[in-house]
Amino acid sequence: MSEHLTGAYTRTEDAHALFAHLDAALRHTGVRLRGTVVAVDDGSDVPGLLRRRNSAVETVWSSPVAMCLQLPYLRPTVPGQREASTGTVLVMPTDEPRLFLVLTVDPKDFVWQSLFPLIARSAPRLFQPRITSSSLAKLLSSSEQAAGLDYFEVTQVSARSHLHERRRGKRFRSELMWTEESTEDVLAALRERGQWLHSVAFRYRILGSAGRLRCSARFSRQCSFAMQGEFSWSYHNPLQSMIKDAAAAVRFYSNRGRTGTPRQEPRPVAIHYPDAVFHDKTKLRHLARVLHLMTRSSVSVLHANPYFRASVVDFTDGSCYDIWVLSENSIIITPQLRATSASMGRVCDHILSWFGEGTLRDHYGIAESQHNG
Amino acid sequence: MESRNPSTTGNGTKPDSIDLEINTYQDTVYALICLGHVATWDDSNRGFRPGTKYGIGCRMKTSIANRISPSRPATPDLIIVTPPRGMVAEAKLSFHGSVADCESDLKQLMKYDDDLSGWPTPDGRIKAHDILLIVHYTRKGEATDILAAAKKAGTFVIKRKFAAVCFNRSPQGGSESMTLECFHGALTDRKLQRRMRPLAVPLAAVLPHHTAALYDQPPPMPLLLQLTWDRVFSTLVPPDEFLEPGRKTFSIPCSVDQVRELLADACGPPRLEKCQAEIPQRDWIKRMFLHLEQMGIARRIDSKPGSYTIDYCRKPSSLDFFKRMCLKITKPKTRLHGQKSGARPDLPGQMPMF
Repeated sequence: MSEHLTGAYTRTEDAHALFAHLDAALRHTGVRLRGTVVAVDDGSDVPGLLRRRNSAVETVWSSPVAMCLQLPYLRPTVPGQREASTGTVLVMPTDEPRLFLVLTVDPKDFVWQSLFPLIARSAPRLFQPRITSSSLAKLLSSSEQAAGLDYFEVTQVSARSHLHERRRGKRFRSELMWTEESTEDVLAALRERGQWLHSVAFRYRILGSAGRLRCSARFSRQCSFAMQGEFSWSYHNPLQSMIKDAAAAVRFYSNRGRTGTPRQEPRPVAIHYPDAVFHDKTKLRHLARVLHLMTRSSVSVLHANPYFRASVVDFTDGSCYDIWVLSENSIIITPQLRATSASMGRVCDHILSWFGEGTLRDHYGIAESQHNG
Repeated sequence: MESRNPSTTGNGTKPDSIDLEINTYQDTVYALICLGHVATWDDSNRGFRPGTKYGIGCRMKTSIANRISPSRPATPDLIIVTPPRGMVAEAKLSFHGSVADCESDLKQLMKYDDDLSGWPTPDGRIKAHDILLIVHYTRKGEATDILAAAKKAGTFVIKRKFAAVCFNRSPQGGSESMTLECFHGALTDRKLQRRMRPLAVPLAAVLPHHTAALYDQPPPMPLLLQLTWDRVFSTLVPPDEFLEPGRKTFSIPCSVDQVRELLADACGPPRLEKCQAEIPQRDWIKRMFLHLEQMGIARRIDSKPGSYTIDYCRKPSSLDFFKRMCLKITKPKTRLHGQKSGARPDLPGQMPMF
């Protein structure tokens, strides 16, 4: 590992120094910094929660601005062979309570085979928050308009859309598009095609005292990201936008379980669609299929047509929900006794990203009722 | 609601009949919730009328002067309190046939024609109350005939105001609604009676805010098992343990009383002060554990009577699993116990397929 790379993990008590170390590592080595935003369900510390799932996680150093952790992983050497190695991550607190950044400049294998699976196994107390397609669109727009850039273009978009004509049982299309367009053009094209975003990548050029710096970044709705070239600008612009939306999502999904409400009343949420999607009753069958696609879950469809009711149990933590379709343009999710923030995010994100992007809000019910008496 | 068709107690022997039983049971619960809502909702102020409340399955007591059952407990399916008056409602989906067939149903309604005590009011009493019969839309015609014939023959004598309401779930203008229609008799609350001629209650506004999935009658066994598996047993495993490496099955020690209490919280009607009846009943839970034992999912703990160890694991669809298992362990019956020849199903759609 080069001097700059090891420098990224140097102990520091000052945020500016930490940013400088990370910037230096990215500028001089060309490596990618990968990471994710994580949320902590209670006041526990991140290393402690990770250690509960993997006792080999070690804290190398800890300061007010970050913590440096080491965790073991099997590094692929030649095809079919692996050797024991360790990966290093930095855990940084954010301005939002309960939200942290987990960063590493170690190889992709470490991130995808060790770090992210460990975070996934740490649910429901430590989890990746989920943001929506509109949050990703907002992230793109705000980044393009941010100060200090002389060039910005979207390079890659992963999007999904409905298939109007069913082909071999498939009801949606997932596309990965390479492009060199502005944010406005990309978002207009997505709107026109009825697509919603799954992840975005862009490249940009920063005007600095040392000249122009070519950089690139990628962000996904699971709040994972990767960046190349520099860290400071990304941290203050797209990453802040992502953190704010992730915090709003965590707040929205929190305390939905009936055990946390007076008289155990439910606090349902609704996904609203601009069109009457369920006018076509085959969409109810599609929704049932989408729910069955969710991993580690149990889905019991109690009624499928003309209204829809399913009971969903999330087997990552035992949260339980009733999913209702009682009108042509919305899906209502009623959390039952246990509904953790991590699980609410997982279930809602699964429906939003696999069935269709809609607007998520509280379902007030009877206050909106229109009895025709 | 009482049923003359034994299949509604969860002994369906065909997948279609189980689905119908579940649908019928759920629709009855929805109808009770909607009627309670409508009676307590003030359309002009767009809010609940102050001081009103309703409860599903409430335990009351008859007076010594009761003509049918003096000084005995009575559990109407729904009570509605709109001070200074109230309403008592009984759902009878199987209200059909002749007056003689409906004798027990009529007697049950006459039992409520009494100075009942146990209302959720400070002194447990109410000035006066109306009596409601709730039937499915398809039984509206027959119910009208039976009530008229019973009154004429003097077998149905009721002093208090009596009305019959039918319900039907159907799509209305793009959303699913529960239509309530007051088709017989009169209510003291004229406004409510006028509104229900008929009244379509949008289910989206009401049901997602209600967690009640049970009322005073035993649900079909697969539904009871699914509700317990999904909503109760899942909460008996600590959230952190679900993702522990190598854990796929969780051994949960539990007792009949503990599960009954938890199921009452998870799926029972909201508890209405002291008068709330035991829903689900202990007997339903005992029977459910026997089914789980037969399925090889529950093991009796010999040292503790009424206690079991459940092997809890993920089922891709718990309802489908329990429907299959119930069909397996329930022997098909050529003639159901107590069924009269030519006995009719609860709803016309429940005619057996030959």
